Amino acid sequence: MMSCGRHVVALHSGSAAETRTFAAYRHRLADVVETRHGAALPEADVVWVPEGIPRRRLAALTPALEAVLDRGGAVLLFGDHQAGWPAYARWTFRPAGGAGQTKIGAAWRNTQVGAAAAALHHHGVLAPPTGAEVLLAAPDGAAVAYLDRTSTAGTMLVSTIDPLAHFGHTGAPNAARFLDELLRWVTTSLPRRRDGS
Amino acid sequence: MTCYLRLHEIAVAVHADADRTDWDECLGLWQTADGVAGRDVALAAMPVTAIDLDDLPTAELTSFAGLILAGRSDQTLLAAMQDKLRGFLDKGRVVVFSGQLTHDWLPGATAFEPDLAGGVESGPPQLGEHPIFSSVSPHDLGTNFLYSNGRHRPPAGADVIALRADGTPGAYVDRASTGGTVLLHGGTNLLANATTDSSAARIAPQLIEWVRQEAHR
Repeated sequence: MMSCGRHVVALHSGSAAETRTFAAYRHRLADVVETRHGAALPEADVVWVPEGIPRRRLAALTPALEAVLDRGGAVLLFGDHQAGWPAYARWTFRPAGGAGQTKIGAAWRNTQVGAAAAALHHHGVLAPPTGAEVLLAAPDGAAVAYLDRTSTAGTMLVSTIDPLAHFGHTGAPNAARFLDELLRWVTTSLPRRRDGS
Repeated sequence: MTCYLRLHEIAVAVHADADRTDWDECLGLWQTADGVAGRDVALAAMPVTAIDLDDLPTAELTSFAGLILAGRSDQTLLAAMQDKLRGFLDKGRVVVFSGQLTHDWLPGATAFEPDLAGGVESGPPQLGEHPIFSSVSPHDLGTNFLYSNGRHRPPAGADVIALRADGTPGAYVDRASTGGTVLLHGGTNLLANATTDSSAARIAPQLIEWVRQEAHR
């Protein structure tokens, strides 16, 4: 499936998991950008920031990511969130777990991407900023993934699941299903911002 | 076991000199670490120096016995500095990599080969008689201690130190390809076993000690 005119750009920090995953999904991505020497993202509508991106590299890319958000684009974040960006991300450690036990929030209820996300384990929980929509929650209600459409002019999906690692290292079918459905969702269902559409 | 709490973005440089590390304290710190800050405290208590991987190409490595590199390391960066790594090994030092090789940077090694059948049956590995695995029960090791979906082919002269559930090589020690020692382990980070409260935690101190002894052999 092509990206329906929406340019999804993935950030590649050189790991085996990223190499394998982006090779498999290259046909659904407008570009794969290496983070080693910094990067500009002028053509990106959606930026996929994999779990495990080195914190220094994320810090260096922050102006480019904020520019994407400023023009109404979307940023997808995974894994733990201790890099200091986004500044309002509040992450708390929990041992990895929770596969099949999470509750699906309204925006993902009765969707394939929601069902696929609920099958994955997660790495900690999040305190969403005011106005954010919880996409996935632990049994005690703590957020595992949320959609923030209020903190910036764009859209941020912040989550603690790590689909790239599982697909990239072991080809895990659950992770593949989620990535398939996520890319479909961001290109067909995720509303655009800034211009009101 | 996946570790985003620091290990994936650093090279762990093992100190060459003997020390008085309190491993009970270290392992306690690993088990209670709940973030990057906690992992840094645990690393600081060990006889190692954490080098940000982006600093590795310019880091002075002479004083270290070896480097322990994580599976989420930037292999394009490692490939670009392969001459430096080769020189480090040829001085009798040790390089340990846990993960799946996709780029040509580790002497003697070849890329991770996915199993054509889609993966072997899962099960505990078979651990060889090697100091890293002393008193470690295979049943205490995580699912991906050795990846079940592929493996690295050992070079001629390498010693296989762990077998996957199907009996194929999962980790080897290569003293033949360079003047030093390469340990290639096709699984999740060996040091991350320190986060467990089982016999698997012994791997971390035993790996550090083995690297030091190996560099002095």
